Amino acid sequence: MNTSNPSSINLKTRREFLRTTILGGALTWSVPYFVSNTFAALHAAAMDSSSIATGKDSPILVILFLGGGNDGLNTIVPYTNDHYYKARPVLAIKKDKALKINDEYGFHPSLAGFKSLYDGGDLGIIPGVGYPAGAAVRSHFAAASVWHQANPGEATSLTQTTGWIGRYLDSSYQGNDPTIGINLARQKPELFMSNRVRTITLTDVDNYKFGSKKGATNKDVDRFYADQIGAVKTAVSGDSAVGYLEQITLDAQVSSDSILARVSKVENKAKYPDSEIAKDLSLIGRLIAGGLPTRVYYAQQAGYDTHARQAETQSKLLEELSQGMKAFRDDLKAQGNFNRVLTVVFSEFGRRVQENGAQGTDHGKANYVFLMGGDKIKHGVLGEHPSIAPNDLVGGDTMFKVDFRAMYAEILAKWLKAPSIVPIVGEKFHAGSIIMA
Amino acid sequence: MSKLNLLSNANWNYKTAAHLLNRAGFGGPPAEIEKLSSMGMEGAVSYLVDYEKIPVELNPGSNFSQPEPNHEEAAKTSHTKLLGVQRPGESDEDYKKRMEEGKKLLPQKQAEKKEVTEFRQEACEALREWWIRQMAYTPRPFQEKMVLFFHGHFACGGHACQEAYFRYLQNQLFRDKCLGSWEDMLVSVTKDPCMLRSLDNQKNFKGKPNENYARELMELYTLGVEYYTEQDVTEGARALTGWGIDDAKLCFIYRPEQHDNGEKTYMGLKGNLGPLEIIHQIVKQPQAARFITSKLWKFFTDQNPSEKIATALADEFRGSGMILKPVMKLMFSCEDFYAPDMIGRQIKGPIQWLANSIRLLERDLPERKYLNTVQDKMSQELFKPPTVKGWDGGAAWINTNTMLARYNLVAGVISGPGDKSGGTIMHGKTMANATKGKVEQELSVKKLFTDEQLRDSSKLLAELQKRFLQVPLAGKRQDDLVKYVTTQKQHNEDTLRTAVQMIMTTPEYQLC
Repeated sequence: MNTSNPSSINLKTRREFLRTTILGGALTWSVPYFVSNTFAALHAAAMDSSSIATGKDSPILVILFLGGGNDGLNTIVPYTNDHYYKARPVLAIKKDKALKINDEYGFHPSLAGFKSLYDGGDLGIIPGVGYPAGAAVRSHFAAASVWHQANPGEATSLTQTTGWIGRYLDSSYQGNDPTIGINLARQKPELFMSNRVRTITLTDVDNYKFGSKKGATNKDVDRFYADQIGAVKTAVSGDSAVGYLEQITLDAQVSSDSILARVSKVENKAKYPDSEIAKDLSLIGRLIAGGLPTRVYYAQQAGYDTHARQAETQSKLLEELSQGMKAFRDDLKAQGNFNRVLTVVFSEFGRRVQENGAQGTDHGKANYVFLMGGDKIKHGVLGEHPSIAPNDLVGGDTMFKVDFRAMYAEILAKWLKAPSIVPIVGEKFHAGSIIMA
Repeated sequence: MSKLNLLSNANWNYKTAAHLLNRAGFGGPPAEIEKLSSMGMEGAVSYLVDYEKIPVELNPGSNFSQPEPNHEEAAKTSHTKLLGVQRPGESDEDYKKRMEEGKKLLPQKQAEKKEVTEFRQEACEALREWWIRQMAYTPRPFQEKMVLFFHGHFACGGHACQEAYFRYLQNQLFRDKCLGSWEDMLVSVTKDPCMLRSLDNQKNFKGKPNENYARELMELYTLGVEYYTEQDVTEGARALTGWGIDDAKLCFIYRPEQHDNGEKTYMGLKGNLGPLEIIHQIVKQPQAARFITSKLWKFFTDQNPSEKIATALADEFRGSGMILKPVMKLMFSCEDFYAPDMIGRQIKGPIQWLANSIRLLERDLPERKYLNTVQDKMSQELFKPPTVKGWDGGAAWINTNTMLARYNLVAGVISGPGDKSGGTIMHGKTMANATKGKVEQELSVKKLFTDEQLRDSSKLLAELQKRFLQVPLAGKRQDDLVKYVTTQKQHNEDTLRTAVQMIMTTPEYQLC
């Protein structure tokens, strides 16, 4: 039952990738751009080199990553399908518990928030998103890399040193200040990896500023800090660890100024529930309301690796996700920003059709992607659900229907209006009409 | 035979000794480094690595080093058991009945649960504090550094294992086995309750295999993603059935009735395989020696090993029967480890930053609240790794958010309770003092400097550089520090604290 062949991941190039990116711990420090071009020098040129205005009407992309591999089959439940109940004797959602989408499919009972978004015409569901790998990757990390890197060639050949959003920013936003991309996860995600354009990480807006001391300050230390920022603005210390640290200190200070100025007085216009993902979404809501030039936000919700006792864990997570997204929609609508924000929700893989013996499921392949957005975004079920009949499965997994890179191509070309998508997803993928109305 | 050249004693000096103590331990004040420097390279490496000769007192807190007093109660009072969603297989009637009973029992159960939760939280925080204390004051810094490596390598904890007792057992397991046989380590970790719970092997049963541990054992712990097949995952999961946790005794148990006795094929080996056979088969793979030694090199240097280094380390490891100690000695003795582009190029992880700062300031342990804040804001919370592969480390420690935290949290580590004795940390004197708890005296920065240094600005600046930095401050920062230090009429506790705070609020201080 050799369902996958992990050796197809190009070993040498993967090593190369790890060696040269921030995630792998850099051998060479990724600042060569700033050796010759400091932020200050670029700032003046920023307006000219940005191909798209970063004004307050520009489209925004919010990416939510469900870490661990969400079980799509129990998220969108085929409640009339006997194969489903056979494969899931313990975990199956009962027909009368599923929140009906149509005559065959229903939401997981914890997705009342999604149901409300769906009924309101704000939610799109794309079934069977994956990639045509004979070697779909079942490792969490390699699979997440596949989605984050979006290699234009073989999806599972992890040869990119940049992520798809990083390449987009490089192609469209050179010279912008680093708030162009904001990550709310604790570590910069691979999809933000870029050659030139810098992005920031922000988890707590109220502490996102320099302070020599809580309560009081130390004037000498404050002056010392201000001086070093000033000095770095005109000269970063070359291709070195020190240069790397200087650059991020500068990014922190520049973005701190702009975020505090624009966001400190803004409040959410909807009440968010109490969960980690809702907290992230409420912060994104505030940042959008504050009018930041940010084009892409990234947040993640971890914990979907449900090898055991899936029912309770997944219920809790989906409840938090869908209630958080509902509040986010309400907030954006109240702000008048809903039509300019597209939210995309994905996971590194789905889970095996057949449940395991621990009331859980093991790693699988293709999965659902969810979209939330206004008039320009399609709503409802956008495509055909992959068959779960045993004869149609490959290695116990459903077959993919939509290549995730085709979806990216459309988001880039039609939503973000990237001048050219070729440098990002290559020539094979074109903007179709999967998601845009 | 190893192909790496060893560093000659002629090239052994204060700088290389400082580098060794920073990487193999958590750094230390100049007196300690001078002592290592005087030992010669071989002596210094042996002093750190052959630590079994040095006695150590661990003094773990009783709330985490013993089974939870009301563990049984904790198991019974799960909220989800009372009022959770309808369980798979639970009839509507049973579910309704459970809800009704649950609601009646809820107030009392909530109170019990709260007690258990609070106990666990307190015990887990005490455990973290205890471990940071070990790292900061142990006479065996290399042992604690290895524990930190394996804590990230076999990343466990978080939600999956909330009992401080299990976390402590695993921490002690790493302390006991970190320089021994790799195969023994793997067998012990496979039996470890914290691991059995975190990666679900205790729910891996005959006829109903659970692949979680079987996959990560190969992908993350021993071989890497390219070196196993999906068949190895499914067959490995079958072989691992039957190893679980004895819930009454809170330890490993083998349950023969749950073990799959059928024939399996695993990496070319056929038979009624069990956990011991598959671990042995993994360790036999050529990649096994290379994988863990390359990861160790990366942990201790922040760089991937060159082909030459990776091969030499793997050869040494294989040649010594896959025992960790000899390969660690080779790592710390070879010229490559002391190459100019190795020194001062590692970004201190948050825990390294913390233990290192405590040692450089020769201070007592900061308050627990501060320790928790550092771990949270700089993003390395012990026993709460972000994913099953632990922390990426290196440049990934740094982003705009954590960079601000690193600067903002300096004030907290140069204030607060000080060290009464002022004795050298390496010999564990401070340790005994630190474990007593209450300390009356405020931390003194002044005590770190001699009267001569306090009188002579250039000597003071040289001492500041020597103690706190592996690389000199660049341009403007150096100018500003010199200006500040030289323009003070005289140095007192406040001016010295400001100077140290300046040094610690720099890119250079993040490096070791």
